[in-house]
Amino acid sequence: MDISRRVLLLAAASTPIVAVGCSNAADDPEAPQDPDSAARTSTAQSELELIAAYRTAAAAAEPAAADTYEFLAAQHEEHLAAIFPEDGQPQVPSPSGTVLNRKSLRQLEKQAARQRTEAAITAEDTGLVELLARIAASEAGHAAYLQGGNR
Amino acid sequence: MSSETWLPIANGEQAAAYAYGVLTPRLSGAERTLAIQAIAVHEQARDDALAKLQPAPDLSAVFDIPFPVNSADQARKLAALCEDRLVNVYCTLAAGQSDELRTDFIETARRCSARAVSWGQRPESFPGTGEPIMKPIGEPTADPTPTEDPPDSSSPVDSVSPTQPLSPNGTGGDGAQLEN
Repeated sequence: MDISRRVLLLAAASTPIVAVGCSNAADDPEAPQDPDSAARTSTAQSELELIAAYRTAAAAAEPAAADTYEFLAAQHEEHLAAIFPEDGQPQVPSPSGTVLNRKSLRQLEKQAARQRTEAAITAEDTGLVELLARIAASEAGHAAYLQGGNR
Repeated sequence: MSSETWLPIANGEQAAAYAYGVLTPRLSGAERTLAIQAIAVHEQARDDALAKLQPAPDLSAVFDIPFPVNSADQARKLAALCEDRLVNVYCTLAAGQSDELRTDFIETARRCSARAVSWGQRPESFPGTGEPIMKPIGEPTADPTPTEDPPDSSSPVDSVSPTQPLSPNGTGGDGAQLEN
């Protein structure tokens, strides 16, 4: 199984219940509720904040560093898309305007990896647990990358 | 806890310890030290997993290294590959565990992923999603006969002695290049 298919299956397996079907499912008291809604929402919010932080940092960085930040931001976009593969993604937060340096971005990644681990503990859907585990591992890799461990 | 949980971990950690035993002689300085430390980490994890299995399985198989390891670059690639494959093992097994074990497995996956990147693997959005490629060669035996100078799989640390480097032919196995 190739990587893209594997990720697609993971995302499909963890599709939030309320996001499937009609757009007003969340307003329908008869609609099944997603027990993992809180884990998805908090993860998505964190991913959006990371994307915003990298975009802001990239805009103020030298080209080489900007490329790195854009590369990592793109991976967080993939995380977000996997968490919310259908409708229902939360709104992009307003940019803070604060430009974070490499060390601060690394700390954000480490914090995010911890948050994904905690979200995985509360998650009920096994596909979502595995997805969150892989995202946590990805963000741990990002932190190592920002530390300069990658050649 | 079932063998379905601990056997893949024992096998994966043994494969990693074996691979580090193969690759460590190709490294020097701080990298060699890190690789030796990684051997200890993976052996401990293997032993912890084995302690959960009754009866303990025979892990004396010789693994098929997927590409020759004759240089430091190839050594780093193999180290990254092994760590990435362990990410897959732990992430796949995380669901269905108790809270404590789920946390342990994900934290271990995070450490493996960080090591993979530190060895030069480019960060991935969903690490560990490749196919496992470290497979035992044949059936494990009490006294495996080396075919292409593989190291002693039961004692990979021994093979990293600075006075006992691997032969230039490296590891046995001549598989495909690492896919990143």
